[in-house]
Amino acid sequence: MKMILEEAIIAMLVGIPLGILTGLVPGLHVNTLVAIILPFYPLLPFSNYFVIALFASLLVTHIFVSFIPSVFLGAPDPETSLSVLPGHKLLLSGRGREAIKLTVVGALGALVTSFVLIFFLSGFFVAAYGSSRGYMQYILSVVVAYMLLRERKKLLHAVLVFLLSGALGFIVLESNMLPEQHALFPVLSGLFGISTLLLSINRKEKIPEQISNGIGISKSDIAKSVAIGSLAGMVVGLLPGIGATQATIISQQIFSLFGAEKFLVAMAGINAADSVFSLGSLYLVGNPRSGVSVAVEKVFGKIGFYDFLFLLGIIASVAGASAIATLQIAGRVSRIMKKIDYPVVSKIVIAFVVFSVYSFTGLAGVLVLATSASIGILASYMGVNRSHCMGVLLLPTILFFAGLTPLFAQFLGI
Amino acid sequence: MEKIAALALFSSLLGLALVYFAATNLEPSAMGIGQITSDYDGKVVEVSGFVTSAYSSQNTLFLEVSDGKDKISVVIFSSLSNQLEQAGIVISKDSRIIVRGVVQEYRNRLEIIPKKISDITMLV
Repeated sequence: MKMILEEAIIAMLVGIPLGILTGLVPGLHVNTLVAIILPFYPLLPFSNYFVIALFASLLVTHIFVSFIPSVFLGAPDPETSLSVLPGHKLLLSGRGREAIKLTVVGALGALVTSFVLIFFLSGFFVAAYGSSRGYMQYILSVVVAYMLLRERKKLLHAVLVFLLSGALGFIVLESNMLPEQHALFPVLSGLFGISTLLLSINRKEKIPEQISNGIGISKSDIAKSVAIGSLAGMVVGLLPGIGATQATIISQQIFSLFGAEKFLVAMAGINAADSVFSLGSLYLVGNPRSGVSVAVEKVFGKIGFYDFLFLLGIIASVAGASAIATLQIAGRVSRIMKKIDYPVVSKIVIAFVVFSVYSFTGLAGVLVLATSASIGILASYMGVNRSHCMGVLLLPTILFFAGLTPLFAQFLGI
Repeated sequence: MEKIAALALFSSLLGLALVYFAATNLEPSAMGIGQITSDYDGKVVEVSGFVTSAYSSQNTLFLEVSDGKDKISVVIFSSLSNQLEQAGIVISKDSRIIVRGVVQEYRNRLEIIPKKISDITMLV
């Protein structure tokens, strides 16, 4: 028992810095590091508890820290891609540090909420999903229609952006032209990250001094956003078919999470809750639902109740440390933002992302990145909400639930 | 501003066309089963061999394909297995096939997951 505790502490001390590394480097995903570590774990002089504690520490820290490059550099992970838009908006108002605080609050709040939800509501949710699965395409279509109709006079422009991004998403995800585990990286980086940076360079945007004045939304809005993020994260973590990015945009539309602050809290909450529930899925239904939970299953096999409690304990411990680390890093970054030449930094970030995309997905990925960036820029210049670019995942998801994917794939010859 | 919008639209459409062209013309690597390692996880490969075992569970077809030296699992999920059934394509033990699909690691085993009918070719 004492040894497991000691190993857990060592695992957290190793996992947190690694999670900071993966969180700060765009394109470097937790799953990549896990895949590197996994073959070597039998050689480590530690028990399996060390390994799963390491993976959980890595994952949780990554979730907190990954919003920093998204907000300050416009270089997100696929899971945090939607945070670029509200994050950049706050950055331009001198509230970049506040944006990170909002994500920290959202992630911490959702983790606490998830610990309660997972024991009381998950059974209900799995059952509810089973009965609603046949209607998911209709639910999603209504959400999409609502999103598009909000554009009123620019409806046709919005539909065009939705269809272009949807077509791109369908081709990329169904054709296997890119390695499956990295397919979303060029797509979402282009739509939300690179396009934002290019627009920023073109507009010669200057980053003002970043001030730190607390959080600009009410406690009730925080509570509401955390609750929504936790529930949506439960859907993503337990059930197949919906990812964190789709869940974020759907939650925004259904629960009117309009406003950068509420959106960031909810989005961070979804990602954090997803981490708990995707690990929980391994315990609850014996089905791993993420790269890290697959790795945990490989190391541990079937996990029992007390093993799951151990994992929750690790998550809770690391969450606190990660929140502090994230705020500290964000503080340092925000202090140097005014001193840096933002257009130059943006160009460096673009070059880095292009290089990362090429490393993970080759020239095909760079082509996808360029195409998706064009669509993101088109949306901006057409004056429509860039959330319509989420057609890249929503359209393929609707087709999937409608059972139309094979038909369209066959029609397109992919 | 309108020029940039037009340029972005042109670029989007051109990019989409090129992506589509690339997606429909990329050929996966044909390789020996023994060459497939965890490094190929997520990548598309093509193997040929004969079926050493075949069974169905809840409409999912589980095959084991051997090239005479090595074996690998091929999993045909229900949506594709239904299409195969409708097309009158029957895969059974001793069938000779060429399979193209994504390599995935599941519970410590590598599997090939074909996605469409054209990913499977029956050899006489």
